[in-house]
Amino acid sequence: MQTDQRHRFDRLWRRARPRLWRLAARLAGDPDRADDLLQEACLRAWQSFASFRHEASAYTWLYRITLNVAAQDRARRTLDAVSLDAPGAFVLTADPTHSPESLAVEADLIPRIWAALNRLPEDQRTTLILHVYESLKYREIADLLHIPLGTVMSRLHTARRRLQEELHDDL
Amino acid sequence: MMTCETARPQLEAFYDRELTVWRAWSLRRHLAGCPACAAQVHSLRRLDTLLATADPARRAAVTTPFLLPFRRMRLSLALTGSIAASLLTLALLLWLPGQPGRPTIAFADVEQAMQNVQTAAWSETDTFYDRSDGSKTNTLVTQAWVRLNPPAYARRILPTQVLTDYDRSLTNDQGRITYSSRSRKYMIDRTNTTPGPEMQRQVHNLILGQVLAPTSAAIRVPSRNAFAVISPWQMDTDRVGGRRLLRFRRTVRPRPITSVVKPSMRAAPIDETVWADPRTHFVARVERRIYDAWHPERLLQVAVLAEYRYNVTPPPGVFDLTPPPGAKVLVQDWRGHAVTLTPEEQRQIQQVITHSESGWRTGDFATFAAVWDFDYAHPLPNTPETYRSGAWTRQNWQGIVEHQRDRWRSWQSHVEAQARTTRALGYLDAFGQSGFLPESAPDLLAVKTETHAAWMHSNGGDKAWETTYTLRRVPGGWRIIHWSYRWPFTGQ
Repeated sequence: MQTDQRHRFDRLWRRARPRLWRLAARLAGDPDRADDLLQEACLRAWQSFASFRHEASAYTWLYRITLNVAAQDRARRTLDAVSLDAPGAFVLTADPTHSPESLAVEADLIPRIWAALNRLPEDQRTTLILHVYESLKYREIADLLHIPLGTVMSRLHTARRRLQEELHDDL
Repeated sequence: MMTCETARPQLEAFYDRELTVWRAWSLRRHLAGCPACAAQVHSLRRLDTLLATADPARRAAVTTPFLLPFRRMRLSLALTGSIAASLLTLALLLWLPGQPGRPTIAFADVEQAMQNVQTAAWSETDTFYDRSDGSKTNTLVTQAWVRLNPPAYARRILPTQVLTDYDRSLTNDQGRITYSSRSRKYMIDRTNTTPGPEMQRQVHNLILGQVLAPTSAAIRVPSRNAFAVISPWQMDTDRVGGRRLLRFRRTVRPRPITSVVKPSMRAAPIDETVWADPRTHFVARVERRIYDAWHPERLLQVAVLAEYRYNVTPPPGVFDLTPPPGAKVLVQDWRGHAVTLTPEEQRQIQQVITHSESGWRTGDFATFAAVWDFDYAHPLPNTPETYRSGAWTRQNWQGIVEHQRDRWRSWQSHVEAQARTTRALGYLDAFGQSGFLPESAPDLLAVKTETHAAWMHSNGGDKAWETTYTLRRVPGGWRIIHWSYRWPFTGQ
């Protein structure tokens, strides 16, 4: 029975892992934190897998766990959340369309975007990330975070307004 | 007719595709006649594009504004009986005017036609102009060959991810650089070491898109230069060499960055023109005019790609690379293949790299610098102002090693300087690196390793790091003259 449950969990986790990894990387703002977060999320999910009643879909359940883990992790860490190892790919080329110059500009820009994102209140930040990066619809975010639809819209609106102000020079 | 007062509160939901079909329709009609509201929607789109640039998961690839609604469109919508509504939305999207960034339908034909290309040859003439007085400084004529694998008929039925293999050859008076998917003898096939879908898509876009038929997606995705404003293609006809051709024109204008960014680091504005055969829709000629990033009126470079020939058999050996006499290349491809160095030479190189790394890890610049040759630098003919002295390079590295300060930025600027001042990178042309084989410097050697994830990141996981050392032979051993690395592409 235990083995069977383990197999089911393994199957589920293997399927969901890529999506959860992306979610964790985005919530943490740093792909290198994603593995740690995912490990913690996996542990918690396994611990409560036996009591998982399939009231929500398995993905939603895992999403929630990952969201919680990421939120706790962020609360623990200091505010200096912008990694010096800004996520980015380094391609050197003589081609002007993706020249070192444009990449350098980007390398400068990415930490600024993340600094602005990290200055948002936690609830707005999570909502925005779920919407912009995870492409979730308003209704899906509302279900996931257990909040009314109107709250999703107002959070998104406020977050966007603030980002537009902060990143005004780059827009 | 909807007024601005009623439209404004719905703009965000409209942009997020959360409105019902009819509401979206009436709002779209309003937008077609109201520049103020349209500008608001556009600013939302710009914010999205900016955020996509910074996606740490690298999966929310920057999409063209045109594609954005479709990416968000859920399958469930269709399944719940709204197929007709979806089609109507699609029809409206295609029909209604005022959609910024929408590709010209005719150019879509060109892109479609180029999918049938198996091999292509063309000649590229690059003319460089002086930054200060606008005089012509240098002209470079390059003959290019590209062969796509697998064949065109197979590409139609295979998923996009398979379209990664290609051979390329660029020859001019500075030398020849090749990339061959079949011969990994001299170069490392990067796509085989990390077959992440992101990377594969980039290769696909680069070859089919940028080289053969430049599209906005091709420019935006590989560079992730998401804050470039790209105008839609303007189409007309033109006579070139007695032939009537379709002409498509557009501009790429990076957004000015007003913060503390060095002029040399700003992205350049580009004007692009593509001529296509009206019958076959194959690209017949491409012209790119690249301007000074800081002074957009100053022309820096004109690239003319012409004399295209498609689907002809390439001459034998065109994709093979012949290293200059005396050059030795260490190869560490994914199968651990072939080396043209003696075991003793390999041992020496390994020692030098280990020495440098130990200095880096401990922040001990003396140890780090003991195996470096900072004075080795060749200014490229057309960029004399980017030349950095040995003292500058040494000081820069000292700052990085000792203080590890702002590592990313320092590194970035350093690599930028080095890439222009040494031609050592020309040895390696895995995907994305250009440059020509430094025939003038056969004492150089490039070593590529992937072993540094462990200390750069404790939880490196399955990340593939590529680190490239360029070394120079000196009496009794080797000295490092350049060091660069790629950020990881995860296999996620």
